[in-house]
Amino acid sequence: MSGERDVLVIGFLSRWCAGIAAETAGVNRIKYSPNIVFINLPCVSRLNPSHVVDAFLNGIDGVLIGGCLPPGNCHYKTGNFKAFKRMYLLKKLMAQFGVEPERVKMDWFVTPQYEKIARVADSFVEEIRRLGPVMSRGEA
Amino acid sequence: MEKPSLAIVPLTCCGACMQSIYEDRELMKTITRYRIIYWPGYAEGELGDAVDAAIIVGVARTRRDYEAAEKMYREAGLVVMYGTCSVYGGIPGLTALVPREELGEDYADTAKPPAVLRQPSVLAPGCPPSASVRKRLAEILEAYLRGEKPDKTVFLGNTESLCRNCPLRPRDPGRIEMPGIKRVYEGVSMDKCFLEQGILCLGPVTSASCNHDCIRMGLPCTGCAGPVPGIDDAGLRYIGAIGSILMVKRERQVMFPGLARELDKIHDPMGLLYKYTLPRAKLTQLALIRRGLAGGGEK
Repeated sequence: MSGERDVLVIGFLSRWCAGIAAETAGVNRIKYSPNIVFINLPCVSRLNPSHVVDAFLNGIDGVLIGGCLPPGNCHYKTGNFKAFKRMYLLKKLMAQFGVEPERVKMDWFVTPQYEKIARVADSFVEEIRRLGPVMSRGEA
Repeated sequence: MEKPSLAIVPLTCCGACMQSIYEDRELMKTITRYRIIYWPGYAEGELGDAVDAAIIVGVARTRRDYEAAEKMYREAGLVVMYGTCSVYGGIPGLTALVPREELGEDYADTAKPPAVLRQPSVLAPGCPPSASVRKRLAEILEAYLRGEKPDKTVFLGNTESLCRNCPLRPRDPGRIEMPGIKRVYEGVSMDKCFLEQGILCLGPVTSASCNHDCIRMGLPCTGCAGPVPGIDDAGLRYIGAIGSILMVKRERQVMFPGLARELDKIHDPMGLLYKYTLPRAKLTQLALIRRGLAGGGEK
Protein backbone atom coordinates (compact mmCIF):
# COMPACT_ATOMS: atom_id res chain seq x y z
CA MET A 1 0.00 0.00 0.00
CA SER A 2 2.87 2.37 0.76
CA GLY A 3 3.79 4.73 -2.05
CA GLU A 4 0.31 4.60 -3.52
CA ARG A 5 -2.38 7.08 -2.71
CA ASP A 6 -5.13 6.24 -0.26
CA VAL A 7 -8.45 5.21 -1.73
CA LEU A 8 -11.39 7.51 -2.40
CA VAL A 9 -14.97 6.31 -2.15
CA ILE A 10 -18.25 8.00 -3.05
CA GLY A 11 -21.50 7.06 -1.37
CA PHE A 12 -24.66 7.86 -3.29
CA LEU A 13 -27.55 7.92 -0.87
CA SER A 14 -31.26 8.23 -1.27
CA ARG A 15 -32.23 11.36 0.64
CA TRP A 16 -35.32 9.73 2.15
CA CYS A 17 -33.71 7.00 4.30
CA ALA A 18 -30.00 6.44 3.86
CA GLY A 19 -29.36 10.16 3.51
CA ILE A 20 -31.17 10.91 6.75
CA ALA A 21 -29.28 8.08 8.45
CA ALA A 22 -25.99 9.67 7.35
CA GLU A 23 -27.19 13.06 8.65
CA THR A 24 -28.09 11.48 11.98
CA ALA A 25 -24.69 9.82 12.14
CA GLY A 26 -23.18 13.28 11.88
CA VAL A 27 -25.51 14.78 14.50
CA ASN A 28 -24.67 11.91 16.87
CA ARG A 29 -20.96 12.37 16.20
CA ILE A 30 -20.47 8.83 15.00
CA LYS A 31 -17.02 8.51 13.47
CA TYR A 32 -16.51 6.93 10.08
CA SER A 33 -13.71 6.79 7.56
CA PRO A 34 -12.77 10.14 5.99
CA ASN A 35 -12.16 8.38 2.66
CA ILE A 36 -15.86 8.27 1.89
CA VAL A 37 -17.86 11.25 0.67
CA PHE A 38 -21.64 11.01 0.69
CA ILE A 39 -23.79 12.58 -2.00
CA ASN A 40 -27.53 12.75 -1.45
CA LEU A 41 -29.77 12.00 -4.41
CA PRO A 42 -33.54 12.36 -4.65
CA CYS A 43 -33.62 8.56 -5.06
CA VAL A 44 -30.96 5.98 -5.87
CA SER A 45 -32.82 5.12 -9.07
CA ARG A 46 -31.66 8.56 -10.28
CA LEU A 47 -28.20 7.05 -10.56
CA ASN A 48 -27.37 5.91 -14.07
CA PRO A 49 -24.57 3.35 -14.54
CA SER A 50 -22.70 5.98 -16.54
CA HIS A 51 -22.43 8.15 -13.40
CA VAL A 52 -20.68 5.28 -11.63
CA VAL A 53 -18.28 4.67 -14.52
CA ASP A 54 -17.60 8.42 -14.73
CA ALA A 55 -16.66 8.32 -11.05
CA PHE A 56 -14.12 5.56 -11.76
CA LEU A 57 -12.71 7.44 -14.73
CA ASN A 58 -12.22 10.46 -12.48
CA GLY A 59 -10.18 8.50 -9.98
CA ILE A 60 -12.81 7.31 -7.49
CA ASP A 61 -12.00 3.78 -6.35
CA GLY A 62 -15.32 2.57 -5.04
CA VAL A 63 -18.99 3.51 -5.14
CA LEU A 64 -21.40 2.75 -2.31
CA ILE A 65 -25.09 3.03 -3.09
CA GLY A 66 -27.44 3.39 -0.17
CA GLY A 67 -31.12 2.84 -0.86
CA CYS A 68 -34.15 2.61 1.33
CA LEU A 69 -35.40 -0.34 3.37
CA PRO A 70 -37.76 -2.19 3.18
CA PRO A 71 -37.56 -2.54 -0.62
CA GLY A 72 -41.26 -2.10 -1.27
CA ASN A 73 -41.36 1.04 0.84
CA CYS A 74 -39.54 3.44 -1.48
CA HIS A 75 -40.70 7.07 -1.36
CA TYR A 76 -41.25 6.80 -5.11
CA LYS A 77 -42.75 3.31 -4.73
CA THR A 78 -40.27 1.25 -6.77
CA GLY A 79 -37.07 3.31 -7.00
CA ASN A 80 -34.85 0.85 -5.18
CA PHE A 81 -35.90 -2.02 -7.46
CA LYS A 82 -34.87 0.05 -10.47
CA ALA A 83 -31.56 0.95 -8.86
CA PHE A 84 -30.98 -2.71 -8.04
CA LYS A 85 -31.57 -3.83 -11.65
CA ARG A 86 -29.20 -1.18 -13.00
CA MET A 87 -26.39 -1.86 -10.57
CA TYR A 88 -26.74 -5.63 -10.86
CA LEU A 89 -26.28 -5.44 -14.63
CA LEU A 90 -23.49 -2.89 -14.28
CA LYS A 91 -21.58 -5.24 -11.98
CA LYS A 92 -21.92 -8.08 -14.49
CA LEU A 93 -20.68 -5.76 -17.21
CA MET A 94 -17.74 -4.52 -15.13
CA ALA A 95 -16.61 -8.07 -14.49
CA GLN A 96 -16.49 -8.68 -18.25
CA PHE A 97 -14.28 -5.62 -18.69
CA GLY A 98 -11.90 -6.83 -15.99
CA VAL A 99 -12.91 -4.17 -13.46
CA GLU A 100 -13.65 -5.70 -10.05
CA PRO A 101 -17.42 -5.67 -9.52
CA GLU A 102 -16.81 -5.43 -5.75
CA ARG A 103 -16.02 -1.77 -6.31
CA VAL A 104 -19.76 -1.15 -6.50
CA LYS A 105 -21.74 -2.04 -3.41
CA MET A 106 -25.43 -1.66 -2.79
CA ASP A 107 -26.84 -1.60 0.71
CA TRP A 108 -30.18 -0.71 2.20
CA PHE A 109 -30.90 1.40 5.26
CA VAL A 110 -33.83 2.46 7.41
CA THR A 111 -33.80 6.03 8.71
CA PRO A 112 -32.66 5.21 12.28
CA GLN A 113 -29.76 2.98 11.19
CA TYR A 114 -27.10 5.66 11.54
CA GLU A 115 -24.70 3.28 13.24
CA LYS A 116 -25.10 0.79 10.43
CA ILE A 117 -24.24 3.38 7.78
CA ALA A 118 -20.99 4.27 9.58
CA ARG A 119 -20.17 0.58 9.95
CA VAL A 120 -20.91 -0.20 6.30
CA ALA A 121 -18.89 2.83 5.16
CA ASP A 122 -15.88 1.73 7.22
CA SER A 123 -15.99 -1.88 6.05
CA PHE A 124 -16.46 -0.82 2.42
CA VAL A 125 -13.46 1.53 2.56
CA GLU A 126 -11.45 -1.34 4.05
CA GLU A 127 -12.54 -3.62 1.23
CA ILE A 128 -11.60 -1.03 -1.40
CA ARG A 129 -8.21 -0.57 0.29
CA ARG A 130 -7.67 -4.28 -0.16
CA LEU A 131 -8.50 -3.97 -3.87
CA GLY A 132 -6.30 -0.89 -4.24
CA PRO A 133 -6.86 2.22 -6.36
CA VAL A 134 -8.88 1.74 -9.53
CA MET A 135 -5.97 3.16 -11.55
CA SER A 136 -2.56 4.21 -10.42
CA ARG A 137 -1.64 7.78 -9.60
CA GLY A 138 -1.13 10.26 -12.41
CA GLU A 139 -3.58 8.61 -14.74
CA ALA A 140 -6.70 9.66 -12.91
CA MET B 1 -8.65 22.00 -64.20
CA GLU B 2 -7.48 18.57 -63.24
CA LYS B 3 -9.93 16.29 -61.53
CA PRO B 4 -9.50 16.09 -57.74
CA SER B 5 -8.04 12.82 -56.54
CA LEU B 6 -9.82 10.38 -54.28
CA ALA B 7 -8.49 7.51 -52.18
CA ILE B 8 -10.77 4.87 -50.73
CA VAL B 9 -8.80 3.34 -47.89
CA PRO B 10 -9.89 0.07 -46.31
CA LEU B 11 -8.48 -0.46 -42.82
CA THR B 12 -9.51 -3.56 -40.84
CA CYS B 13 -12.96 -4.25 -42.25
CA CYS B 14 -15.10 -6.98 -43.78
CA GLY B 15 -15.56 -5.51 -47.25
CA ALA B 16 -19.33 -5.14 -47.19
CA CYS B 17 -19.03 -1.37 -47.10
CA MET B 18 -17.01 -1.54 -50.34
CA GLN B 19 -19.73 -3.71 -51.81
CA SER B 20 -22.33 -1.12 -50.84
CA ILE B 21 -20.33 1.55 -52.70
CA TYR B 22 -20.03 -0.62 -55.83
CA GLU B 23 -23.73 -1.34 -55.82
CA ASP B 24 -24.86 2.27 -55.45
CA ARG B 25 -25.08 3.66 -58.98
CA GLU B 26 -25.51 7.28 -57.94
CA LEU B 27 -22.58 7.17 -55.54
CA MET B 28 -20.40 5.37 -58.08
CA LYS B 29 -21.28 8.02 -60.68
CA THR B 30 -20.03 10.73 -58.33
CA ILE B 31 -16.97 8.79 -57.23
CA THR B 32 -15.85 8.10 -60.77
CA ARG B 33 -15.89 11.83 -61.50
CA TYR B 34 -12.89 11.93 -59.18
CA ARG B 35 -9.49 10.67 -60.19
CA ILE B 36 -9.35 7.48 -58.11
CA ILE B 37 -5.75 7.03 -57.08
CA TYR B 38 -6.18 4.25 -54.54
CA TRP B 39 -8.92 1.73 -54.08
CA PRO B 40 -7.86 -1.90 -53.64
CA GLY B 41 -9.94 -4.07 -55.92
CA TYR B 42 -10.81 -1.18 -58.22
CA ALA B 43 -7.74 0.91 -59.03
CA GLU B 44 -4.14 -0.15 -59.13
CA GLY B 45 -1.61 1.86 -57.21
CA GLU B 46 -0.01 2.74 -53.93
CA LEU B 47 -1.34 5.09 -51.31
CA GLY B 48 0.53 8.21 -52.43
CA ASP B 49 0.87 11.56 -50.77
CA ALA B 50 -1.22 13.93 -52.83
CA VAL B 51 -4.84 13.15 -52.00
CA ASP B 52 -7.71 15.62 -52.17
CA ALA B 53 -10.46 13.49 -50.67
CA ALA B 54 -10.38 10.23 -48.73
CA ILE B 55 -13.04 7.72 -47.78
CA ILE B 56 -11.90 5.61 -44.84
CA VAL B 57 -13.58 2.26 -44.25
CA GLY B 58 -12.99 0.06 -41.22
CA VAL B 59 -11.41 0.30 -37.80
CA ALA B 60 -7.75 1.01 -37.04
CA ARG B 61 -6.33 -2.16 -35.51
CA THR B 62 -2.93 -2.74 -37.08
CA ARG B 63 -0.12 -0.21 -37.09
CA ARG B 64 -0.47 0.20 -40.84
CA ASP B 65 -4.13 1.12 -40.28
CA TYR B 66 -3.15 3.89 -37.90
CA GLU B 67 -0.50 5.17 -40.29
CA ALA B 68 -2.88 5.16 -43.25
CA ALA B 69 -5.59 6.98 -41.27
CA GLU B 70 -3.12 9.59 -40.00
CA LYS B 71 -1.79 10.10 -43.50
CA MET B 72 -5.27 10.68 -44.89
CA TYR B 73 -6.06 13.16 -42.12
CA ARG B 74 -2.82 14.97 -42.92
CA GLU B 75 -3.14 15.06 -46.69
CA ALA B 76 -6.80 15.04 -47.66
CA GLY B 77 -9.04 18.08 -47.50
CA LEU B 78 -12.17 15.99 -47.11
CA VAL B 79 -12.03 12.89 -44.89
CA VAL B 80 -15.12 10.68 -44.92
CA MET B 81 -15.69 7.99 -42.29
CA TYR B 82 -17.73 5.38 -44.14
CA GLY B 83 -19.47 2.66 -42.14
CA THR B 84 -19.96 1.90 -38.46
CA CYS B 85 -16.44 0.45 -38.05
CA SER B 86 -14.76 3.74 -38.91
CA VAL B 87 -17.15 5.77 -36.75
CA TYR B 88 -17.72 3.54 -33.69
CA GLY B 89 -15.54 0.45 -34.05
CA GLY B 90 -17.95 -2.11 -35.43
CA ILE B 91 -17.36 -5.86 -35.32
CA PRO B 92 -13.55 -5.70 -35.86
CA GLY B 93 -13.55 -3.19 -33.00
CA LEU B 94 -14.51 -6.04 -30.67
CA THR B 95 -10.79 -6.80 -30.54
CA ALA B 96 -10.20 -3.55 -28.65
CA LEU B 97 -9.47 -5.37 -25.39
CA VAL B 98 -7.43 -8.22 -26.89
CA PRO B 99 -3.80 -7.59 -25.90
CA ARG B 100 -1.30 -7.12 -28.67
CA GLU B 101 0.78 -10.06 -27.46
CA GLU B 102 -2.04 -12.39 -28.44
CA LEU B 103 -2.37 -10.95 -31.94
CA GLY B 104 1.11 -10.36 -33.25
CA GLU B 105 3.73 -7.72 -33.93
CA ASP B 106 1.81 -5.95 -36.69
CA TYR B 107 -0.97 -4.93 -34.38
CA ALA B 108 -1.31 -1.73 -32.39
CA ASP B 109 -2.15 -1.72 -28.68
CA THR B 110 -5.86 -1.37 -29.19
CA ALA B 111 -8.49 -0.91 -31.87
CA LYS B 112 -9.75 2.61 -32.39
CA PRO B 113 -12.27 3.93 -34.86
CA PRO B 114 -10.39 6.42 -37.08
CA ALA B 115 -13.16 8.97 -36.38
CA VAL B 116 -11.72 9.59 -32.90
CA LEU B 117 -8.12 10.04 -34.03
CA ARG B 118 -8.72 13.55 -35.37
CA GLN B 119 -11.55 15.68 -36.69
CA PRO B 120 -13.17 14.00 -39.72
CA SER B 121 -15.28 15.96 -42.22
CA VAL B 122 -18.10 13.46 -42.65
CA LEU B 123 -19.45 10.64 -40.47
CA ALA B 124 -21.52 8.09 -42.39
CA PRO B 125 -22.50 5.31 -39.96
CA GLY B 126 -24.34 2.14 -40.91
CA CYS B 127 -23.43 -1.50 -41.37
CA PRO B 128 -23.28 -0.85 -44.31
CA PRO B 129 -24.58 2.74 -44.62
CA SER B 130 -28.16 2.85 -45.87
CA ALA B 131 -29.34 4.32 -49.17
CA SER B 132 -30.32 7.65 -47.58
CA VAL B 133 -26.88 8.03 -45.99
CA ARG B 134 -25.18 7.16 -49.29
CA LYS B 135 -27.35 9.69 -51.13
CA ARG B 136 -26.31 12.50 -48.80
CA LEU B 137 -22.69 11.40 -49.06
CA ALA B 138 -22.92 11.58 -52.86
CA GLU B 139 -24.23 15.14 -52.52
CA ILE B 140 -21.30 16.12 -50.30
CA LEU B 141 -18.78 14.55 -52.70
CA GLU B 142 -20.51 16.32 -55.58
CA ALA B 143 -20.28 19.65 -53.75
CA TYR B 144 -16.60 19.03 -53.03
CA LEU B 145 -15.97 18.72 -56.75
CA ARG B 146 -17.23 22.29 -57.02
CA GLY B 147 -14.91 23.31 -54.22
CA GLU B 148 -17.46 23.41 -51.39
CA LYS B 149 -16.30 21.80 -48.18
CA PRO B 150 -18.29 21.32 -44.97
CA ASP B 151 -16.88 23.67 -42.32
CA LYS B 152 -17.57 21.32 -39.44
CA THR B 153 -18.11 17.57 -39.06
CA VAL B 154 -21.30 16.46 -40.82
CA PHE B 155 -23.20 13.57 -39.26
CA LEU B 156 -25.08 11.74 -42.01
CA GLY B 157 -26.92 9.29 -39.77
CA ASN B 158 -30.33 9.93 -38.32
CA THR B 159 -30.35 11.91 -35.08
CA GLU B 160 -33.49 10.23 -33.77
CA SER B 161 -33.78 6.88 -32.04
CA LEU B 162 -34.93 3.80 -33.91
CA CYS B 163 -38.08 3.60 -31.77
CA ARG B 164 -39.35 6.93 -33.12
CA ASN B 165 -40.61 5.48 -36.39
CA CYS B 166 -40.57 1.79 -35.51
CA PRO B 167 -43.23 -0.31 -37.27
CA LEU B 168 -43.83 -2.12 -33.97
CA ARG B 169 -44.03 1.09 -31.96
CA PRO B 170 -46.23 0.59 -28.90
CA ARG B 171 -49.24 2.82 -28.33
CA ASP B 172 -47.55 4.52 -25.37
CA PRO B 173 -43.73 4.39 -25.65
CA GLY B 174 -43.51 6.01 -22.23
CA ARG B 175 -45.04 2.99 -20.55
CA ILE B 176 -43.25 -0.04 -21.95
CA GLU B 177 -43.34 -3.02 -19.63
CA MET B 178 -40.98 -5.93 -20.13
CA PRO B 179 -42.59 -9.08 -18.73
CA GLY B 180 -39.26 -10.92 -18.43
CA ILE B 181 -36.31 -11.69 -20.64
CA LYS B 182 -36.80 -13.96 -23.65
CA ARG B 183 -34.64 -15.08 -26.57
CA VAL B 184 -35.75 -14.79 -30.18
CA TYR B 185 -35.94 -18.57 -30.70
CA GLU B 186 -38.61 -18.76 -28.02
CA GLY B 187 -40.97 -17.13 -30.50
CA VAL B 188 -41.72 -13.56 -31.49
CA SER B 189 -44.94 -11.96 -32.50
CA MET B 190 -44.86 -9.39 -35.29
CA ASP B 191 -47.51 -7.06 -33.93
CA LYS B 192 -45.97 -6.01 -30.65
CA CYS B 193 -42.92 -4.04 -29.54
CA PHE B 194 -39.98 -6.42 -28.93
CA LEU B 195 -39.32 -4.94 -25.51
CA GLU B 196 -42.93 -5.55 -24.53
CA GLN B 197 -42.43 -9.17 -25.56
CA GLY B 198 -39.35 -9.43 -23.37
CA ILE B 199 -36.81 -9.45 -26.18
CA LEU B 200 -33.80 -7.19 -25.70
CA CYS B 201 -33.87 -4.73 -28.59
CA LEU B 202 -31.34 -1.91 -28.75
CA GLY B 203 -33.77 0.38 -30.58
CA PRO B 204 -34.11 2.95 -27.78
CA VAL B 205 -30.42 3.92 -27.91
CA THR B 206 -29.73 3.29 -31.61
CA SER B 207 -29.78 5.89 -34.35
CA ALA B 208 -32.53 5.37 -36.95
CA SER B 209 -30.08 5.40 -39.86
CA CYS B 210 -31.47 2.13 -41.23
CA ASN B 211 -34.90 1.32 -42.58
CA HIS B 212 -35.89 -0.99 -39.72
CA ASP B 213 -34.95 -3.91 -41.95
CA CYS B 214 -34.16 -6.28 -39.06
CA ILE B 215 -37.31 -5.34 -37.15
CA ARG B 216 -39.45 -6.01 -40.23
CA MET B 217 -37.80 -9.44 -40.50
CA GLY B 218 -38.61 -10.28 -36.89
CA LEU B 219 -35.18 -9.65 -35.42
CA PRO B 220 -34.49 -7.20 -32.61
CA CYS B 221 -32.08 -4.30 -33.18
CA THR B 222 -28.46 -5.03 -32.26
CA GLY B 223 -27.32 -1.44 -32.66
CA CYS B 224 -25.40 -1.63 -35.95
CA ALA B 225 -26.09 1.98 -36.93
CA GLY B 226 -24.43 3.20 -33.77
CA PRO B 227 -25.87 5.15 -30.87
CA VAL B 228 -28.10 8.18 -31.15
CA PRO B 229 -25.81 11.22 -31.21
CA GLY B 230 -25.81 13.07 -27.94
CA ILE B 231 -25.74 10.18 -25.49
CA ASP B 232 -22.36 9.58 -23.95
CA ASP B 233 -22.31 5.79 -23.57
CA ALA B 234 -25.20 3.96 -25.19
CA GLY B 235 -24.58 0.66 -23.40
CA LEU B 236 -24.73 2.17 -19.94
CA ARG B 237 -27.77 4.21 -20.89
CA TYR B 238 -29.44 1.04 -22.11
CA ILE B 239 -28.84 -0.58 -18.72
CA GLY B 240 -30.66 2.41 -17.28
CA ALA B 241 -33.53 1.77 -19.67
CA ILE B 242 -33.73 -1.92 -18.75
CA GLY B 243 -33.89 -0.90 -15.10
CA SER B 244 -36.91 1.26 -15.85
CA ILE B 245 -38.93 -1.27 -17.81
CA LEU B 246 -38.03 -4.81 -16.73
CA MET B 247 -40.81 -6.57 -14.79
CA VAL B 248 -42.14 -3.27 -13.44
CA LYS B 249 -45.47 -4.83 -12.55
CA ARG B 250 -44.03 -7.77 -10.62
CA GLU B 251 -41.12 -6.13 -8.78
CA ARG B 252 -42.82 -6.36 -5.40
CA GLN B 253 -43.72 -10.01 -5.83
CA VAL B 254 -40.38 -11.32 -7.05
CA MET B 255 -38.18 -8.95 -4.97
CA PHE B 256 -34.42 -8.71 -5.47
CA PRO B 257 -33.69 -12.46 -5.93
CA GLY B 258 -36.37 -12.73 -8.61
CA LEU B 259 -35.04 -9.72 -10.48
CA ALA B 260 -31.49 -11.06 -10.23
CA ARG B 261 -32.64 -14.42 -11.62
CA GLU B 262 -34.26 -12.67 -14.57
CA LEU B 263 -31.21 -10.47 -15.21
CA ASP B 264 -28.97 -13.54 -15.12
CA LYS B 265 -30.64 -14.55 -18.38
CA ILE B 266 -28.46 -11.86 -19.97
CA HIS B 267 -25.34 -14.01 -20.24
CA ASP B 268 -23.14 -11.59 -22.11
CA PRO B 269 -23.98 -7.96 -21.36
CA MET B 270 -20.81 -6.73 -23.08
CA GLY B 271 -21.68 -8.48 -26.32
CA LEU B 272 -25.27 -7.29 -26.14
CA LEU B 273 -24.55 -3.65 -25.38
CA TYR B 274 -21.30 -3.00 -27.24
CA LYS B 275 -21.50 -5.25 -30.29
CA TYR B 276 -20.65 -2.28 -32.54
CA THR B 277 -19.28 0.34 -30.16
CA LEU B 278 -16.80 -1.43 -27.88
CA PRO B 279 -13.74 0.79 -28.59
CA ARG B 280 -15.75 3.85 -27.59
CA ALA B 281 -17.20 2.44 -24.35
CA LYS B 282 -16.25 4.23 -21.15
CA LEU B 283 -15.46 0.91 -19.49
CA THR B 284 -13.07 0.03 -22.34
CA GLN B 285 -11.30 3.30 -21.68
CA LEU B 286 -11.08 2.43 -17.98
CA ALA B 287 -9.85 -1.10 -18.71
CA LEU B 288 -7.16 0.21 -21.08
CA ILE B 289 -5.96 2.85 -18.61
CA ARG B 290 -5.69 0.12 -15.99
CA ARG B 291 -3.45 -1.82 -18.36
CA GLY B 292 -1.24 1.22 -18.72
CA LEU B 293 -2.51 2.20 -22.16
CA ALA B 294 -3.85 5.72 -22.09
CA GLY B 295 -7.24 6.37 -23.63
CA GLY B 296 -9.43 3.92 -25.47
CA GLY B 297 -11.46 6.25 -27.63
CA GLU B 298 -12.60 9.61 -26.43
CA LYS B 299 -14.06 10.21 -23.03
